[in-house]
Amino acid sequence: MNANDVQIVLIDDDTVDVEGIGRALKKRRISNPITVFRDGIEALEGLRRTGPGALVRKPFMILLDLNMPRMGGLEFLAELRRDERLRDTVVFVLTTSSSDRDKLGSYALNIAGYMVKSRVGDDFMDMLQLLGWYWRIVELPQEAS
Amino acid sequence: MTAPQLHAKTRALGARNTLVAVAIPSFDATSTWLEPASLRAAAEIGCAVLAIVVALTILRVRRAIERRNADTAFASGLLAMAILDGAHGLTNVREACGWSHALAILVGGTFFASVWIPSGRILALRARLPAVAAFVATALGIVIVAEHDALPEMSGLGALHPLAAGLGLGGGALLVLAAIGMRRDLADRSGARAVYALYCALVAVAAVAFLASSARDAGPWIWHAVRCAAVVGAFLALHFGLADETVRTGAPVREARVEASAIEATAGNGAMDERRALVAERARAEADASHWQAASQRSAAMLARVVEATPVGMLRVEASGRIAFANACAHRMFGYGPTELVGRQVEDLVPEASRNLHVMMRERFQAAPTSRAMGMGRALSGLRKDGTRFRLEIGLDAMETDEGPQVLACVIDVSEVVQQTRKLEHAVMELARSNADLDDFAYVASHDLRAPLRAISNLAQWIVEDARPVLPQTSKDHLDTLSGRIRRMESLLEDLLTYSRADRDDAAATLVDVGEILHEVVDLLGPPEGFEIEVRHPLPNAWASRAPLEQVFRNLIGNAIKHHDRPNGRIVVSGRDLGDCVEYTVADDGPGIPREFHERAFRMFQTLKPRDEVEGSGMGLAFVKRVVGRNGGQVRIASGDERGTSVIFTWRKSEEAVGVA
Repeated sequence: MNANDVQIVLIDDDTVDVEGIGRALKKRRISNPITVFRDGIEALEGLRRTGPGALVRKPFMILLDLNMPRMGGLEFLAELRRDERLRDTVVFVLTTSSSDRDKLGSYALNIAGYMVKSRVGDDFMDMLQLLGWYWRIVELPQEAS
Repeated sequence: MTAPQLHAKTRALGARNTLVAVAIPSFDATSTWLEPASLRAAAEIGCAVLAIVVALTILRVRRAIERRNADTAFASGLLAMAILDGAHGLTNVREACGWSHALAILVGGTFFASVWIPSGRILALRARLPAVAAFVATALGIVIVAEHDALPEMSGLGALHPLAAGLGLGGGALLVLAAIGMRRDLADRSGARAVYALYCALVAVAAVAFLASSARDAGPWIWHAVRCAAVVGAFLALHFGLADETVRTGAPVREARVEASAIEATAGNGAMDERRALVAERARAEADASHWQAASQRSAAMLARVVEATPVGMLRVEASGRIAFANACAHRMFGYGPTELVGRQVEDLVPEASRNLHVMMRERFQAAPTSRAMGMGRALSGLRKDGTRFRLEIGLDAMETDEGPQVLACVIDVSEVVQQTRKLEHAVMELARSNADLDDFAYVASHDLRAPLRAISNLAQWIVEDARPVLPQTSKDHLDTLSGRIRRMESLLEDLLTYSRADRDDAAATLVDVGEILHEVVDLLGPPEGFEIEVRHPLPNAWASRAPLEQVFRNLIGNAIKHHDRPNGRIVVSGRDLGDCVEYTVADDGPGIPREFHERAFRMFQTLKPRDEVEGSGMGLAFVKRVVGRNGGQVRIASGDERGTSVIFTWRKSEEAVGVA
């Protein structure tokens, strides 16, 4: 598996955050393809699409915001874990919320890590550094076919 | 035996016989006009028996009323003299006559004089005094009759044996004493007093006359005459009502009651004869039937007033369910006119839906009545006349009445209490909701306000990254300032969140080692070069959940470092046990806080210096105050005269000492 094959799925409604992550990836010279969804419903639709028109193919990992319109991160996670095909997805939560409710709720739905966008500035850089290393080293689940 | 019967009997027996009993034995055995000896003896003995009957009659009459010392003494003396006089009728020997007369005077005098024995002192003896008198006199009589040969010889009339003369003289003195005692004891009963005292006095005179007649050989007539006069006088007095009515008839009710009261009033002295008190009580019980009736009527009236005045509704319900009685409050409570309830079915007061159940429960209660609350915890409602319902509570009790078994129901209108409770419950729910709102607000503040802030921050940074080469210096400075303000706002939001969470720390409190907490806090803060933090041991332990107390120390020590105006500083943390709580002090040698700002320092978002000089949210002390207050403590600032600030706060030291913030 080529590390560059790992697709990054970003689910976040904040355009600035999306751009920030894009800039950070570019800065780190990470050229993995990024797919962005604006909320949980959009993301589920996109992820469930299979065949020739599929937007996302395994291996991929999700960077998930919690606070989103229509369907929030926790609801999305619950739905994801119920989906036969998508339940093995590796998900990192990337949020501004540091509340215990959100943290415990997320880990209960088997996320790989909970990261708080607490400090402004270069935090995306550290985060993406970690993620870059992560998918280089960790074997992600492949498409069953 | 009733008083009139006694009256008749006393008159028939007592009074008439007294004359015979006392008069006839007075005639001397040696008299020549009563011959033969057998006739004389029969007269003497018969009279003695009658005298005894008189004495017993007095005792019996007196038992029904109140027996005074004088009554007992008089009856006892009469008995003793009668028996000894009777004994001398059994013998015709000169010696026996002399001795029996002398002894009769002495023994009789002794018993008459027993009126002086204080009441209560010799209680048992007093009750048995007549029996004792009879026994002593009988014993002496037997000795005289049986052993008259052994008695010292009398030389005949005018030559009494000196011992017999002494006995007679002593007896006379005792009789005089008795006469005085009778008067004294019966001071308030003129009739009996006169009879008893006069009798004793006359017998005393007779005794002296007996001695004198013997000495001068004057014959027995004088003293016989005196004794006879005494007895006739007594008889006449008794018979014609000159004596105390109480002797003759049994006391009239009113007088007896007055005397009983007098006895009770003085009973506290402990000197009163218990028996007398008992007798008085019995007399009063008989006499006071009407008095008690009146008293019971009075208390019934009082009870009725209480029942009418009480703010509790009271109903008496017959077995059939008919209301036999309802007080004023019950009428008011159920909205009826003053007498409308009586005669109605009690189910009229029960809401329709519960009526069948009520009938059933009422019958069950009558089958096994216990004093208990009605409804067994169910919410009970009453039905007013106008059809409105109200909440009530009822206590039940079963009672037997003249009209058969009834149930007493005490009813309290609790609709107001129920209403208040509902209001209170509502208020509590409101409070819980508003707390939840606050929780939500804290979440919003921490997330929704922070997210755009971060975006602004990122955008500013990207502008710098992308356009630094072409930006003028002023724009670069502005962008730097912008970043700084963003950081400040972020820390404000963070502190606000911590503050709002201070109330919701539900971690269980334990006894924590404050020294250990301080060690960690100091480690975490990492005081800059030149600062010295001294923790003065020993430090008392505190009852706390760890996190808030840690936060308090972190804020205080952090403040001390942050607001210090010199590169070198010294911070001292100390503590002491105040008995019911513990007190900690964080003291620094910084610039100090002017006294006028002490109070302001504890408010939210208050800083003493521009934030550009000293970064701070102004939440630190506000947080400390809130957390300390919540844990039952107080916090204050003490400033040195020139420099230095001490923040002093108290904290609970055990679980019991839960303070109210």
